[in-house]
Amino acid sequence: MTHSPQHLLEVRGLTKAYGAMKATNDLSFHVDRGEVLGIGGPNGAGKTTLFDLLSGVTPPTAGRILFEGADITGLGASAICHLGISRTFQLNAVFNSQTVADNLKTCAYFGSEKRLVPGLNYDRRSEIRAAEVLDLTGLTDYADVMAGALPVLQLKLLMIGCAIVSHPKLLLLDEPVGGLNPAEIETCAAVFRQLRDFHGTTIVVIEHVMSFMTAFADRIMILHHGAKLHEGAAGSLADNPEVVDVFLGVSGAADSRKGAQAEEVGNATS
Amino acid sequence: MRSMKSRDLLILLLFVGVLSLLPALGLSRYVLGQITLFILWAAVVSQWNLVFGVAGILSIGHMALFAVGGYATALMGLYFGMSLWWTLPVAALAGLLMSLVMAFATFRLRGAYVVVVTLAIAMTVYQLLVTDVACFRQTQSVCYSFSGGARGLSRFGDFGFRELLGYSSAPLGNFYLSLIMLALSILVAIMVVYSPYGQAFKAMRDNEVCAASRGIEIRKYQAIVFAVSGVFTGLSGGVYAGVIGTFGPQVLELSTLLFLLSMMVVGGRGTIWGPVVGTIVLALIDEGFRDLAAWRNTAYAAVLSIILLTLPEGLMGGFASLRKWALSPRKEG
Repeated sequence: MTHSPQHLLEVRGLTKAYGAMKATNDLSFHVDRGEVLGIGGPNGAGKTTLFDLLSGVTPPTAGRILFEGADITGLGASAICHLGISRTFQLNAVFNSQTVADNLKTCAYFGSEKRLVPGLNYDRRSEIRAAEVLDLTGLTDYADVMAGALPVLQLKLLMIGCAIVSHPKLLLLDEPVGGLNPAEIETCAAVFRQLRDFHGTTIVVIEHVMSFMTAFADRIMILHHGAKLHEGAAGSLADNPEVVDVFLGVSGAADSRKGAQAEEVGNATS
Repeated sequence: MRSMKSRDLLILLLFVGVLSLLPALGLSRYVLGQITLFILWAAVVSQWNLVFGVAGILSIGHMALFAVGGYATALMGLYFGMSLWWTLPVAALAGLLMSLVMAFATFRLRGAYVVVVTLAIAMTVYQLLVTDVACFRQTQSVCYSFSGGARGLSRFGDFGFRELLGYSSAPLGNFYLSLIMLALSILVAIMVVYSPYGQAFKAMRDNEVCAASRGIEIRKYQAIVFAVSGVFTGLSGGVYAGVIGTFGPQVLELSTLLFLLSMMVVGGRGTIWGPVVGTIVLALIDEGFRDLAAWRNTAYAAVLSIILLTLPEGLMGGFASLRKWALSPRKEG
């Protein structure tokens, strides 16, 4: 099997075993440059474990991960970040005792490249990038607020901001809009569309809000027991009876159809 | 962030300026000696706070770094007759090496396990010292061990202030040397905390997995924070040995550890000025209970308990909350 140049990420036979339980089971897929791949599946399907493997938080038991054609299997989390893969976490993972602006500067400074010997001040580029992301996420008014004191929407936006401020080539979003109301989902979706359309960022997104995902993703992969249950265009999801059975349910299938037909995320979720 | 750094540098300047005028009050030799001692403790706690408070690595074996610095100075003064000034770089180096031992021992450990291992390292150093009874040098009928054993070391020289300033003014030399040590210690803390290094340390403390995923190499920065703290704690140990004139395993005893830990917790860990405020409070308690020595430890414990129950973030943390509350806009009606 040779590497195809339009594949930004290629995963081959990826497995993560905890004893006899396989959280990820011989999974193979690829992500093309510039596309949005949605990942769904019931609780415990191994979605977050997959992100942990891709981002180097945990090493896989078997299989390979290729990023831009290079084998990155087994690299640590910081090395993978420096190569250009950035992830968010399901729980609110920001640096609570730093201000919003400092969070972004820290992520820009340490995330964009390996700092052999950091300086005593942030470089100009990190400050510019942090300011850009404050603007992009609409967090400018919160710049001097401690991250630990942020409301939930701003916290999610900051987490996304921290992940994108290092200008990753591949962005892994773990339930970025879970727990938000439709208006807040639209705020986040606007940021994602900016990234996709103007920054050319490739995105893999895990989400339970199906109307959001089918409207936003180009392709969707459904996981079940750590293996691939379905992979295809966003619109095809509700036509697979197995997917409706184990994951969507009848009302979920309706939501997913609605999302796929909607032109924008906002129409689908409201 | 830059304005806060300037603010703290200004406070440092004022603080050192005020302290440097203290001898003009005509303090007694005893009081000046006590102030000198607490100035050195504040220098140590400020550096310990970088590891414990800022980076959130719960190392309580910090006095081992101080001890190796002090012993480096004392031993070299004693056996090589070196001027203690020349031993100070070695004291800093000894602190650095010991801190790297601590860093490597705790790389894979977190939370309470770090407490246990770092305490074990400090206790090992203590036991090695107090059980050192083999005869190393003989003077007339008395036999001294290499490290001085449980008695510690004395008569290993000083910084030469007596020759330079005269007998009566020698304490002034010690006072100002200690003050320079404290200023250096706080200056380093300020430079570190407001630099990308400090932000990386805080990021590790706040959320380690997230910090790693944002490109921060955890072990590297764990080693760096230990190394910085080790250099300046070792140096403080060397200065302490020369200023006090004796150095023994007492600095590694549990009561010393708790005394310094109380300074950090009472003042507010993770803040620049917490260690200094805590030292002042503990120094006042120490003096207040001078005639009630039996109650002294009880008083420390009581203050520590009260602070932990009412202000878990210490006095500086409480001060920050108070200011936030006072500045926040209140709802009308």
